[in-house]
Amino acid sequence: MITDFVQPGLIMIAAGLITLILPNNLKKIPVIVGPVLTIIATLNYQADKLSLIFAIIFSVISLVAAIYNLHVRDSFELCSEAVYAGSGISVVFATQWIGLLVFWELMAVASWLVLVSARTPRADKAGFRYLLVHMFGGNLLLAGIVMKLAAGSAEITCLSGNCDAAYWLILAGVAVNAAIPPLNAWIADAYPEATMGGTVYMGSFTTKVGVYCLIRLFAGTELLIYFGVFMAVWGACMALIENDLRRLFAYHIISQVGYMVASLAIGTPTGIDGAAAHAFNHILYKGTLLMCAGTVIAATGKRKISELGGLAKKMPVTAGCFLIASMAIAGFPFLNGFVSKALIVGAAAQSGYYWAEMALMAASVGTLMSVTLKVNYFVFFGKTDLDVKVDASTVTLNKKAAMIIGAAACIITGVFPNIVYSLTPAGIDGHAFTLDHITQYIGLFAGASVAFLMYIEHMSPRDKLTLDTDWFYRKPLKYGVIWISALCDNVRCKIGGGLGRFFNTANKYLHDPGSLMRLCFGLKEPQKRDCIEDDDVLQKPAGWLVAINFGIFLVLVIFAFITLEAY
Amino acid sequence: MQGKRKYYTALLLLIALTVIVEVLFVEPHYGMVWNIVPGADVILGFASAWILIILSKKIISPVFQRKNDYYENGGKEE
Repeated sequence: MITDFVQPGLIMIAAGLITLILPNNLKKIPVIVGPVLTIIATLNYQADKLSLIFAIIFSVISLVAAIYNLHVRDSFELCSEAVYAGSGISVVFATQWIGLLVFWELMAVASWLVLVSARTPRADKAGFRYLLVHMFGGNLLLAGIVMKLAAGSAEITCLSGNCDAAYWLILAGVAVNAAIPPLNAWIADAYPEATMGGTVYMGSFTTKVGVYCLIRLFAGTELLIYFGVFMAVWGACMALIENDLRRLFAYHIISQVGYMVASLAIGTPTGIDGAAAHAFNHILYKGTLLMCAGTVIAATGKRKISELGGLAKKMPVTAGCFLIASMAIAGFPFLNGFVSKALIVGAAAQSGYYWAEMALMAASVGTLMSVTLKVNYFVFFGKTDLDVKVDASTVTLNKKAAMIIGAAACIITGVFPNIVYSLTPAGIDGHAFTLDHITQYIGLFAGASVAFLMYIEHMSPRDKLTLDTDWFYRKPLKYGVIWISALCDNVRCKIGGGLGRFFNTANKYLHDPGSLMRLCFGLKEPQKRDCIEDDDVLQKPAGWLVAINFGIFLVLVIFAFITLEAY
Repeated sequence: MQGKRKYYTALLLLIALTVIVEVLFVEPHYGMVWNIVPGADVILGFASAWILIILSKKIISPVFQRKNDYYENGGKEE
């Protein structure tokens, strides 16, 4: 078990903690050195190929995101991001359930801290909802893992083919992170509220760690094909009508993760390689897209597509990098999205899932229209009457460098697909550049572009909010919590005395879990905490879930060590 | 959008070129109709684009889209 706690991910976690204590002028050192050392350590670490491909791309995107974030001075944000990245890497190196659980929970808390480090009222409120959902998922995973440990199974093994309670609990817990519907709404709710750099981290880790666990634990589960294909098409449809630039990309994460889920569910070596290769490529092009979107939002102060336009001349580097990454995500030949989609679509066709093959190709058309055509036309290249002011001073050299590195990586891994194919678990050569594949995608995109051109006058998004499954916990659950709180309060008043004092003290800290964190680590109160309002009723359930999780988790760790001692 | 004609012309030329290449040089990997028939990908792209546009703009948008302050104003629509 000790190997689960001594692996390359710890370097990132240590680098993050060091940024907390260093003075401002030295913070850049661990921010850059941490990911570099993690890449070196990962390349020299003994693990299977599935763990390595995910750990390599996680380390690489950590470095690119660190370059993008080089101008950031906020220790709290830098530390949270590094710990988040480190815990994500640690999850993929875990060989035992306890190790997986420890870093899974650390990742959930660190990603929440990344989100609230934006220090805006919207981020704080979205943060509590995010925490609520992830603690719920974490508890499901915890319950499943406790059952596995109770059955004497400490090593992580593939669960496909089982049908016991532990199987379903672990699947549901992992499905929350992989944003499988109906557990998908947290992405579009939370990601757009993080800082510009924070979104790059968030878009790269949580869902992809979920995909890793699905490959490791549930490869070949046929049920997931239906969910994956639905995600691919649904995410593209939602992106087509979305107006908020980062919410649009959040829906695209769901769509692209759908490809991975469908592919791993097919379960053949080609399918599993397709899922792993697509996760690798997706992190590169989605990271680049989110960096470009963040740069646009920081430079213009606007996040809605309807308020942007004609930016290609004002922000040529950002526009160029965005164009490359947007073509990669759609699957244009000789860019990295094409080479991994070729594996996935091929796996579906080889296994006789022709409907899935067609639906995934249709989802590619949705991606082409919603990102490559819509965003490029309405934000960068189309003519507009809007005079959007651009603050060029925000487009710093480090941001340009990070975007160029991301775009170049999309081209390099697209032109030389063997770089990715050689890292995949089975090492299958996708033969992406056959004339059949190339003409297939060119024909598909040309046909779709004609349809887009015919409807282009109506493709501009409406300035509206799109409801998702978060409605259930933002509306009915909210009133449910108010009712239960009133009931508990009533009971507390009746019982009074010691129990009342306990709940009063607990509520004080659990109302805002961040205050507990600050108390433990002696951190300063963030400046803009005015958003912690009494009427945000989801704060208490989120806090209580954290406390319950932490309590069970402590008991579990003590239990594990006692058991090990006995052996 | 002005000057649509040149974009249509370019796309139609690209489609024609793709179909010619498919007829003359391509050996399909798989045996389904859309893999074998030259130009079937173009029809699939065109048709699926329209299906997605109708699905998102005419069904999802009217049913699921609300005013931006939907959650702040207690869910009331004007």
